[in-house]
Amino acid sequence: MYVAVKGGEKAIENAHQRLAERRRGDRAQPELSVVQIEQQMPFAVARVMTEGSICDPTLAALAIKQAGGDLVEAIFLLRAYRTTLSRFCSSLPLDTTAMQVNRRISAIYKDLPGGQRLGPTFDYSHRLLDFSLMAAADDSWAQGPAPVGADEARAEAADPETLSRVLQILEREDLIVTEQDDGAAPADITRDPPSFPCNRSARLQSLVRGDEGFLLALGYSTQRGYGRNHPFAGEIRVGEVEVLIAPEELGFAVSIGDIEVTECELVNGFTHGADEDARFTRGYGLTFGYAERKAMSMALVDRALQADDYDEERSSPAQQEEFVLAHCDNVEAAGFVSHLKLPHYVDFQSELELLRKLRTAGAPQEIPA
Amino acid sequence: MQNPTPRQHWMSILARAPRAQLCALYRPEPDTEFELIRAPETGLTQVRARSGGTGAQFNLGDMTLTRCVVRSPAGHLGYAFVAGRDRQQARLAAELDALLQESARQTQLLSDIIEPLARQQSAARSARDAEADSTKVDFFTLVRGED
Amino acid sequence: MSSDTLIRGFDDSVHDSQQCFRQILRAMSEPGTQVQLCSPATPEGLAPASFALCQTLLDSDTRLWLSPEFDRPGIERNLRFHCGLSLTGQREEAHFALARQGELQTLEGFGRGSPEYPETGMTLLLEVSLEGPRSSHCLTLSGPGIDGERQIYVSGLTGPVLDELLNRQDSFPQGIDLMLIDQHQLICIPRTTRVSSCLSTAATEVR
Repeated sequence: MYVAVKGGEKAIENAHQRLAERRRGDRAQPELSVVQIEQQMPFAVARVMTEGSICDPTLAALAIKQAGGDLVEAIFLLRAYRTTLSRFCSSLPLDTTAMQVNRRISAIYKDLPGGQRLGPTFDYSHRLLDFSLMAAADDSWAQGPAPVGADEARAEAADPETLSRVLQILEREDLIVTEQDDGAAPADITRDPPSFPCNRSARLQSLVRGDEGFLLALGYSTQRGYGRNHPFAGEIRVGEVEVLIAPEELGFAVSIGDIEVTECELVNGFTHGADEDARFTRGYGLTFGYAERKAMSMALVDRALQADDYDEERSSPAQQEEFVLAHCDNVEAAGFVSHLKLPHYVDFQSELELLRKLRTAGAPQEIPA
Repeated sequence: MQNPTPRQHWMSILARAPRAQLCALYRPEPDTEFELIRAPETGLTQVRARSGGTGAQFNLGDMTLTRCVVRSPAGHLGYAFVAGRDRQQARLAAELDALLQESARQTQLLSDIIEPLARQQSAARSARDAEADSTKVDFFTLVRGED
Repeated sequence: MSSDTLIRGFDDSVHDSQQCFRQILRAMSEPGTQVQLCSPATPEGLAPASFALCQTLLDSDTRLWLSPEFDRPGIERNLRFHCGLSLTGQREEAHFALARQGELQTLEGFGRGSPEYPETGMTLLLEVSLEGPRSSHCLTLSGPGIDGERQIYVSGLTGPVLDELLNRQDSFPQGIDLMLIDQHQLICIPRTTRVSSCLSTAATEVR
């Protein structure tokens, strides 16, 4: 039971002032600008856009600034802002095959058509703190020599090819289950809350918005044996895709711009259909911005949640659809945890009194169920 | 987009042209009065994707989108749908879309505005491709000497 | 300019629709009170208040049923363009319906909501004449939002619409909400309002 409390206005106002000061830090230091955050914290921006569910780097950077770098709070801010905008339309489905890739790797084929590009990556870095970054305005990288091979690459890039999908190599030999387009309109959990069991489209939408840490842990749990599904990173791509919409009043499709996305396709352990040949299965992850860990975690959990499709026993947390989807949203989770800070004075008083009564009555001290 | 019509092409170029570039290349003539059919307005479009990249559709999330519709003195409706929240960019793009539909002006506007923008955008794209290509990698599989 | 030309909508969609919404809220919460709704331009054949109302209340999540009088390209195109709404030919599917006085020979088929979801009941936008007592029905309204009684004059209501108002089945919270529109004027008669006819008085006055 909740009981309204009054008062505290002055204290609340001052608390907000203290928060603003805390966010600003030492005023002797220059203030961070939103564009600096947008440009120099791309991974934080990507996470806030993906889980905040608006692809707009500037808004995400603003949210991060306002939240003082608390990303879950920033995601909350972006979700709240989202509700103030009307939705004009839905885009045509992104064509990630036509992505202009900044990064494209595969862990299943060494020499794949079009080749692998590492792009900007933390992989192969030594995870040693780079103290040269502590020097103010370090821009030595900008004057450094061009990376070896950049010139040849520039010449090659004159005619950028569309990179075919790695998993299509397996599809062509019928060695992997294919993704079927049943033509159905996708579910939209922002309009119709999912009811369980829900379909793949509602699941994927929930997972995109899901907390990276939660999904990472669940994905990891499948690797450690809790719902094992034998994943291989079939293909990971990071790059720009064109967004097309087809407004009714125009009668044709228009391109509204490009957005950066990260895509992960997993190849997973095969099915043993009774009357079918064995095939690899697959998990899919897609995010706004460059968010590789999230895309991989999403793909792992997407595959784990397909347990029913392949008659696998749902024995582990990552395979429990309702458990995963109902708890993966960090705005909902943080909200409900945070509400414990709201006044529960009356609630607590009644508990307290009950406890005192039990003590004084000298009766057997059984805790009521 | 594959095989865009001329109009789809210029709309896609305008959608990617930041306001500063549009302002630098396009100055509306003072006597050109556009009627504002739909004032510049920022909202969202749901971004859809496909499971596995090619399968059934799902909703990935929203992105910001600004739209505007004007009518030129010659009676053409100019539309703009541009990613982001820049209303002025949408307004200028809508005006240009209307003017580009006038056959008398089209050639001039294409060569003065659309083509320079297209060249810049394609150069930026090639530069990004080149950067990515500089990280093209050939892995070698080493034979493990266990036998 | 042909009749199916696109016309301009609200100058500032957020603020203009908020102002309209405030007026509609007043009309709904004080049944029988006249309010004014405006939009910079109006498609040919549609009342300005109807167009303002549609821009304010309708969007891609609301389905509108158009009566034959309004089912014309110019109106349809502008409503689709400015509201992003979807039109339906099925009465059962309609959240809103737009019709002119005298057109509706039956209200059969329109949704009245369910006991669980009464808000899904249809809202009828009816273009009528709200001018003075002359040759009009005089209706006496009472109920929530009305201090005592309020009288309105409206002409050209068809039998079924009058019947709906005067002999409302006791089906609350289910029902149909009525919005009467005359050019810039709007009067609302929500399902909570009790309506009786004061026709006899009006008739005496006319004579």
